[in-house]
Amino acid sequence: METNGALTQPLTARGAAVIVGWRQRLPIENVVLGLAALALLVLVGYPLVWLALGSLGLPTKLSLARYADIVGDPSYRQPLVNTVELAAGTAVLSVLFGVPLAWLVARTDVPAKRLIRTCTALAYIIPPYLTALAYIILAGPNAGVLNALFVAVTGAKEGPLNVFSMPGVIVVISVHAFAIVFFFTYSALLSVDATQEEAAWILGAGRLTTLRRITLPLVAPAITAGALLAAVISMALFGPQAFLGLPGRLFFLPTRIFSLFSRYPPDTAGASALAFALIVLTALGLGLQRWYLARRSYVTLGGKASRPAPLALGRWRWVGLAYALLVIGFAVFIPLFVLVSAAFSKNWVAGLSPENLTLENFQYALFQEQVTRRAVGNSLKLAVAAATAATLIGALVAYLNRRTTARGRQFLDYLSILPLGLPGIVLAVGIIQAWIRPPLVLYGTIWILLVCYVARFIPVAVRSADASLAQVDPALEDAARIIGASWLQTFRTITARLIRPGLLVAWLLVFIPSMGELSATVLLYSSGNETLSVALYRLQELGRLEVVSAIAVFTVILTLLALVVAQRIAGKELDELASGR
Amino acid sequence: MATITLRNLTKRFGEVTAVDDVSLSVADSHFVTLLGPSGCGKTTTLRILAGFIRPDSGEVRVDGELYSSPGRALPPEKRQMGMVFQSYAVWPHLTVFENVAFGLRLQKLPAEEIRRRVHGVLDRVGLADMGARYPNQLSGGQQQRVALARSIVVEPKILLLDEPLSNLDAKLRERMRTELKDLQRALGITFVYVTHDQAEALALSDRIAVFDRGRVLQYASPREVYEHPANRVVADFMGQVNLLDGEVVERAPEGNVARVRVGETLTLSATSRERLDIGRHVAVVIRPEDVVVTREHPGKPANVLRAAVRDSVFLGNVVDCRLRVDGHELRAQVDRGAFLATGDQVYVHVQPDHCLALT
Repeated sequence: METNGALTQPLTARGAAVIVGWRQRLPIENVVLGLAALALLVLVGYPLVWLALGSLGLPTKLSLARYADIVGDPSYRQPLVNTVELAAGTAVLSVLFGVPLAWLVARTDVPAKRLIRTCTALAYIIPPYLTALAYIILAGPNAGVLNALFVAVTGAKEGPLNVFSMPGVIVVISVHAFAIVFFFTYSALLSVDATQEEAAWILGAGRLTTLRRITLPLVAPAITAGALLAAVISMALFGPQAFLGLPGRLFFLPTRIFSLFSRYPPDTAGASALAFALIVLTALGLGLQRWYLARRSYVTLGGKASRPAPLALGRWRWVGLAYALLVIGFAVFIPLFVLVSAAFSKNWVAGLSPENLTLENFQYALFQEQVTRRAVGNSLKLAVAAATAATLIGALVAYLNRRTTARGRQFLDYLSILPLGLPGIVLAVGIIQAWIRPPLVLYGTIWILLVCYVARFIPVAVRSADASLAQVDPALEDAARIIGASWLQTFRTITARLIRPGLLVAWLLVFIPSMGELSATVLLYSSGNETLSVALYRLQELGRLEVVSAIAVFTVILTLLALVVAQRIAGKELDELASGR
Repeated sequence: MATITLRNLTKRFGEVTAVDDVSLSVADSHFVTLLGPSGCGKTTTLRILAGFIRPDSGEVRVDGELYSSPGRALPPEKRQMGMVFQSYAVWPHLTVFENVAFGLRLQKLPAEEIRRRVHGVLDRVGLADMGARYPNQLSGGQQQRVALARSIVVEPKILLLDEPLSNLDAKLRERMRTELKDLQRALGITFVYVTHDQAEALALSDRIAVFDRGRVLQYASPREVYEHPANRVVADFMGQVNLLDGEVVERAPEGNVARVRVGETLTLSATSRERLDIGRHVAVVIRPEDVVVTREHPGKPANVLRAAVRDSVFLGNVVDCRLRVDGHELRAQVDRGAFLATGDQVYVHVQPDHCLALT
């Protein structure tokens, strides 16, 4: 009994001291988590407030005139109409590309499944403005490779293809966005219980009837949701819209916002109002998608899902493979091939030949030309810094949301996901107005790009960290606390260690898009702070396609390197990584 | 009319032989159950029968017509069978009515007939006013009835059922069991039923095929399987039994009764199917309900043993009792009127024909 008493005595004393201490000073966890919350509010919330104020004409004068212009002024209205057209076209094409591929890979014995999945993921990861660039070389009105080929073969005066057109923009964006439809449809097909199909089968339905009457209706919600998301994404893609639209004076909301901002004096109110129009369209699309998924989700009904044996297509599997290769060919292989061959050419129009080969474009882009040389350094620095900051804040916000009962944590969680629905240029319009004026003037420095990248890609970091945290039993942390580790020690030695692989992946998933970010950067950069994407954009305007291709190839290589590392750490297939599964 | 013949069916998945040389014949209008623990090959056999899987060797014939063989298999949709899945597989995007009408629509029947037959079958399974509902508005039991209705409305020759009751709670399971039996009698078609629940198998079947590791160990009537299990695995699977390992030490001059020594000192008279050689290792199987426990010596000539009560558990209809006999443990089910307390000294008697010596 005596030992027992001796043990309990100091424990009680210590316990009391802890309780008193807890009441007296602010615990470290509140400071750390509070700072993370503050960072999120400043980085994401503050620019959004300015976006709203700006569109109302503030701080100069309060007016709704700009909103009225969206309806009344054709130079405002037309981009809106074009954007909707682009979204609709992308949705349709993405379904045509994505659904057959998903079905082939998920449910049949088509060969080269892994290749199809990996290439679809690549189509999604490669910055779409690089694809646009390749398509200029491929299907430009006069000198485009395909047109030249057509002229050579048929003897016609000119080729039939013009990539600087609405169909051109839709196709180029769709060979990127179809991956979304693929991801959605593929995972829905995997989750459909095979007995659902067998039940139809044994009642006398053939394979095709089963596909049409059972399988497709079951995954229809996923297809629709994927198509809506593809449409939403297409509206935000500044790069292809600018590369392919501007030469033909074909404006979309992002490019129109850009032009309003880049004239002198900039029409901030007009750009903000259009930005809001774009937000409304985006929110509409995303809202519809969520509503549709919530209402008509058929997955996880019934018992355990069993995986079906793949459908034997017989000779048709080669037809399936041909179609898949056609899609991923136009999405990945051909664009990459075109870029690489242009990057090593003295003159891309001359085609591939030994005399035309050169390394000069790389030499010029990476070592000679001042702007691009600077841009390589800037892009790397920015991507590293943004990935580090976003991962740190993301981990803390995820922790706050999952492990504490702090008031307002759902609001923070929502705020951290919000940039996902914000087109880059919209965020940039808010950021520029927020950081161009005191208390903190960042415009004109490289810091504004960092602030922008962190804000833009924080959703990726939060989601990734949250997924890892969900795997960690809170009891593991409690066990450290109960034997005397402080919160900070526990977070550092237990929590952060356990979710480290997840955090590394999060870091890379922020790093990769930061390396290629164009749609916000184009509005925020200033002379001396150019990034790779901006250097590429400006050289493209000057028509130096060989040098531009060299930068593009360099960007793709960096991206692929980061991807391979991320894939190794995560131990997942590329498409799982890209679709966030 | 539908008789089924499975001949030497074998199916391998990689290294695992899921179905190993299975031969069964099912008479017309019979209710046959494939019974066994999970992974024993019963479901694979059923899926071969349905045409979802092709056998590696052997064949399936229905009414003498070849349905499945390694080289040729009639696709499932041509087999005129119905199937009820463990997961029900009720289509969530179709109403109850449309789920049930699906097979009839494929047959391109007139709308009026479809309506009539669907309503008829929904009425029969007790879902008369549920036609307009979607599956997610139904309970598990109701979804199960939809699955059943869907598969019988097309009037199949054979109905296949893959653990149809395993997702239901105990009470509902018992009720559905009775209804299934009634249904089978009323329809008069052949049922092939897969389950791991021996009580279900006993209650429903005309014949039971007991599966283990891909093989059929016994194929017989429920009573035969229960009272005369072919071997110790079957005995062990058919409800709770006492299994005592022993050795034949003496044979009766005639009949298949032998003296079996269990452990050092205990010797029992046991019945076997064939005459057993002396020295043969056997398992003596005794069902708990065949153990008679008395306080006084029962005055029988054979198999009377002294035992001590280790504990007794009141189960409601019976009392489950653990006894200690010569260093061996014996379970007995005794009348609930018997008040046995731990430590009580009692006599145990088992008739020799309830002591089965199995190889």
